[in-house]
Amino acid sequence: MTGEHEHEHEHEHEHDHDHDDDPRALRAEALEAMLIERGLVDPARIDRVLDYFEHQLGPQHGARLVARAWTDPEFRQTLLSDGTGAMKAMGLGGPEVDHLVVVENTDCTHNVVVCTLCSCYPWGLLGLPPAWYKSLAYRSRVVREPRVVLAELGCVVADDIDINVWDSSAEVRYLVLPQRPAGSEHLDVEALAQLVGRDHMIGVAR
Amino acid sequence: MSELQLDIDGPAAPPRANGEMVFEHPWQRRLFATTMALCESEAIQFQQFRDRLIAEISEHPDEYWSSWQDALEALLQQQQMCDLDQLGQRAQQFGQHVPRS
Repeated sequence: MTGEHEHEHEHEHEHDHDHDDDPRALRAEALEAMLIERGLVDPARIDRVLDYFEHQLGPQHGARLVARAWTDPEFRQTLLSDGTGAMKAMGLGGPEVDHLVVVENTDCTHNVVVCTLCSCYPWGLLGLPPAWYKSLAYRSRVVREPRVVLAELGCVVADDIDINVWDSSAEVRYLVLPQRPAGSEHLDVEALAQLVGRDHMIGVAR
Repeated sequence: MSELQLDIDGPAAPPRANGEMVFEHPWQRRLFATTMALCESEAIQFQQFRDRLIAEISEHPDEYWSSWQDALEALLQQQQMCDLDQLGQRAQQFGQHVPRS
């Protein structure tokens, strides 16, 4: 995540200064200006949408929950016993996360989340779902042969680790609490949150 | 925003990574936000935009954001919210503008 993100920003910076030789950039800029001038779109609304997609929607909220659970044992207990309450206590929630259940990975157990019926997903905590999450192949196979599917997604779970598959529903969204990485003892909660990606919290990374 | 109107799979699904949108250039980010703002205020209907987007992508499968731009312009023209000739002139004016530094 970090690599892509940093690259993206470098790219943006570079193009902020030479956009005028890109015909599509000029057209987009002209269209926005014309729509605003004619009162067809509110610039404040555009900024709100941008803020939402860039700062609110993404895996960072879920990652904050995980990082806090790693550093605050009392919060970890609350998160595991009452995910919804813990989430709301941190001011989190948002689209598609009314009732949250958090399941914890341990040395002996790995958890993975699926929605076998459709594509229920905690957008408000994890951001936009990956395309494969909705695929019939993932939805049907991860229940039947989770170890194989996880390995195909690059997550090899040792044979002596049990795998629990959690099926989301319209009522319940699941979030995996991954294990804190070894060697991260010196990191604070913000730095720890940076280590947590969407795939960890779906359970397709360990 | 309380409701998200975005495909997560199929041809109309936007590029994304780790739960976040992926843009290659700043104009794509602005255009996306402008489109979603138009949908949110119901100036345009997302479904109509989506149909056009899918049609554009079927012709240019490797150019997601350019297809997005063409779909939006076509829809706005059809709904008489934007004159494409004027848009072209305006873009040309922007191109001739030399920023003072």
